[in-house]
Amino acid sequence: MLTVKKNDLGANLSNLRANSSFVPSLYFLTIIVLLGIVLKVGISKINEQKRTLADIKSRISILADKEKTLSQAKNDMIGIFYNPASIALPTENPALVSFSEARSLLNLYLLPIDEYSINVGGDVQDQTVVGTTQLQFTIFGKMDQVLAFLKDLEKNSPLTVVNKLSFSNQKDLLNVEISINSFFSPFVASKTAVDLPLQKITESEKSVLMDLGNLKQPTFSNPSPNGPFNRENPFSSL
Amino acid sequence: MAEINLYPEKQRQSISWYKFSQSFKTINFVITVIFFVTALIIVAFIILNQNAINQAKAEEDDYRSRLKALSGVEYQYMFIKDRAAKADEILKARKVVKNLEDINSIMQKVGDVNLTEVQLEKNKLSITATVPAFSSLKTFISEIKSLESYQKVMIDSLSFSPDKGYSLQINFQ
Repeated sequence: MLTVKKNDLGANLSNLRANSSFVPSLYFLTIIVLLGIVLKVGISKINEQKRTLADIKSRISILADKEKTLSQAKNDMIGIFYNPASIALPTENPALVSFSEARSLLNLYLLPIDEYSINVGGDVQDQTVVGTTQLQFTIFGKMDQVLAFLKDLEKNSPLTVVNKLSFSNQKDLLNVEISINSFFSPFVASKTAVDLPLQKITESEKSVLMDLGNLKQPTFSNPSPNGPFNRENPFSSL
Repeated sequence: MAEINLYPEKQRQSISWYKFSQSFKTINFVITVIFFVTALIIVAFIILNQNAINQAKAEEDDYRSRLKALSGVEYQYMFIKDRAAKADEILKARKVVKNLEDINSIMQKVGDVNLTEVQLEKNKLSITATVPAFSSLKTFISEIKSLESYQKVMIDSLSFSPDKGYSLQINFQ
């Protein structure tokens, strides 16, 4: 026969209540903690991914822009302006070309040259610096001739700037001392990092390049080779 | 048949406790569902983002390889940009020929001015001239004052002789 004491029954019921509330509470707390962890880890991971994606996308937009600019420039700008720009402002000292151009023009305008000197200047290594070569010469002529010569000289490539000019009048003819600067600047192939945006050529730079393109290019003659000749074998008679 | 409750009144399971435990079960169920749904959504987001990252990386690599092929063009582009910037500075320094043109046009306007000596630099001009008549001298000076390239005009000397007329030396800065 089952006998239940009054006090035992009460204690069992209390234990039962405690057990029945402890397990769900523990479960509830566990789920809440797990939810918190999942949210924290998950959201931080998603945020990290978003940042990575945003970084990649910004790099892609730079690269796409760079590729578009370079592809366009390859088809138009570089084909047109690269050679004129490299002749107008060469990487190496253009003293001889400049002097040859000046001489040709002086001949063209029938201006006799009296004396001349070329101050080649030092070697320039720093690509931010523009090196200068100074040509000095004295010519005789009429004002119109001299002016036409100087205007034409500044339309020629390599770039020249009339630095100093002095003249005295001698019986309708001017005795003109002219000092001209021509320029050069080395260019080191320092490529920008691929991810860095390309510094684009501005409209004002484009107009300068157009001016350089309009300069008269120096005339280079290609002398025909003096040979090769058929030479006799010096040992054939032996 | 009548219900018999053998528990004593104060030890009987209360209705409020029963209701509480039932709602606790429901809350647990709901929160479990929320947990799994949230976890699922987060995992889905992570997978989708990872896919997007992989695609973006592939696109980036593609651009990089295309840009590598354009490295020669990039060099030429930077070269012409460098030349344009430097040439711009050089072209800005061109003033002497323009100033000589201005002086020549003044000479042609005034007519009987004889320039005996001229020294011309970028920001400097020195003229020694003889002018036979006062009217010509007046025109010459008023014309020369209008030269825009110089800020300061100084007449260093002015003399008159009946044979040559007026001799003057002017400096511009």
